[in-house]
Amino acid sequence: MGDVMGKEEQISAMLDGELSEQELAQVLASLDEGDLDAWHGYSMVGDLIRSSELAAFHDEPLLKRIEGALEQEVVVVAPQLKTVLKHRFFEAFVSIAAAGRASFAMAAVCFLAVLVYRVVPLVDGVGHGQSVAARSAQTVGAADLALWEEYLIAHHHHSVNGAIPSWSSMGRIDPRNLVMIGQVDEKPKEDSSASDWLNVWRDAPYDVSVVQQTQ
Amino acid sequence: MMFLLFNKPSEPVVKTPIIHVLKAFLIFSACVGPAWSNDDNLWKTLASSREQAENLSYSGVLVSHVGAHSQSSRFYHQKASNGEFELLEHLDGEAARWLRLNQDTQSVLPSKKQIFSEKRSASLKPLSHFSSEKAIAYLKEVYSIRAMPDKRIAGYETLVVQLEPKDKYRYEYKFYIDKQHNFLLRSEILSQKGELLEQVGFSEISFDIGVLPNTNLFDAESGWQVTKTEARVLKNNELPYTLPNTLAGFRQLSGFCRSKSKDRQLYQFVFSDGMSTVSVFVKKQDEAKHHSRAVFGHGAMMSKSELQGGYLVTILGEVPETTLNLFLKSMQWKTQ
Repeated sequence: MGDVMGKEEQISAMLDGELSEQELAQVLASLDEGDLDAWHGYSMVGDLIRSSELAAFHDEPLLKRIEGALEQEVVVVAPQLKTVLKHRFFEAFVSIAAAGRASFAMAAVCFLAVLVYRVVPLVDGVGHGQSVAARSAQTVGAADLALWEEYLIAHHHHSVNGAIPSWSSMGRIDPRNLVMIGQVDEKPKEDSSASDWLNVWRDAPYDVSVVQQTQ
Repeated sequence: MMFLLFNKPSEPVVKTPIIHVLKAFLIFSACVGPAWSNDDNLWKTLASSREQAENLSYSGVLVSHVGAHSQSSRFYHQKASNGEFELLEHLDGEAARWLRLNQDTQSVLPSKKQIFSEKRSASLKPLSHFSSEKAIAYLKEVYSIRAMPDKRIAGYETLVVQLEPKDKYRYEYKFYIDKQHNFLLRSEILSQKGELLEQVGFSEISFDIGVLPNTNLFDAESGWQVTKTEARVLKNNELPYTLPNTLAGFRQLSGFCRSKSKDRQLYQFVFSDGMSTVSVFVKKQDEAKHHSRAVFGHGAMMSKSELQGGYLVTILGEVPETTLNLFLKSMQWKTQ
């Protein structure tokens, strides 16, 4: 699996123009039939995401919901991550499709749904004064969330906000999240309540510029 | 000292360079002195408001905005005969309570009949780290303090105090202190770009609450599930790594081994600059489980994980990512 993902990542990077000439030659020389299928799939997904003409063939209510949700969000911008995120954008599709849970087309729809409902803005080009052109999302597994929550509670218990009384520290904790601690395996994989309070970023949300989306 | 400035009229006036220096020093002190003492007063006011939060009895509606999440809670605090008692009761969503009696804490979830209890470490009692001259001196190293225009909060006139970080490793704080009771009514954490990351404060408050009928922790009846977490203070030699005593103004405080059972232990080391706290968590990497190394954020709280050797290292705190990276890079592993 590790090898398979490695090749998929290479193909994705190749499509993003991120490989050197030498790496490109190596990847091209090693492509087999399955890889070519993957390449074809990535291209289709890329076209689907980038092309307004292709998008026009898709579900109108879904697109409107996505558009509405995107308009309401403040976009956190991390220009320095442009290429990394672009890469991960494709990887998200790859991971869904590679798991055999959906076709590439379905993966695209699932991914967009995740984008809308599970948050996480991203970007590109803003450092050059352009509007937001791309976004990416980061879904989080149950084990990640449970561990993070456990750390968060531990941190609050022992945090030393010198000037701030305990109400400040404890007012920031939702005791309901404590249920999840120690119950990693029982926690639902798609915990819709988590997105109400937890934002997950691929990179620093606050060291970067914030702009209103101007699509 | 002032006599040096005035010579008797009958004596020849001899101006020496040292007199010029002294004059200049005194004039400078007269101009700048009040500003210094004003800053000191602000620091003392802040420290004193922290003490008032412990000494007064009060109740009110506490509203927190953390990232996109907001929560209203009813909060009670009483200096009772059995110690310092606090009760926080969520008003929104599912019922949940958080209680504290001195260093013992409980989170109570009535709908699930669950109680999570933990004893706080007395060694990390915030006051002991803030009120001393030494602690304020540490804070002065990394924050500038200044008063901002007064503001009315929850019906009270407040003094607004801003702590501005002197470097990129911490966030800005704003405190709204009720002038009448010298009580902190609201605290805010802002990013380096001035974005409001977290705000916790009272929307209404009363300092005349009488005596609460019950200032004891929740007594679980049969059918309730109680989960206890024990926190043991760690010694440095128990950790597989070392970190500098001071890192970007964050000083090592204590390490804890928090455990719910023999199998579930969490190693945490705490650093603080007196205002912000950074926790370092180290967990032996479980081969069967893959943990994301993404940056997690919730309000001002942010964490970043990295695999180092056979360990998953997670740095978490109300600090920018730059600080998380600095801690991750500064880990020195002992020979194993």
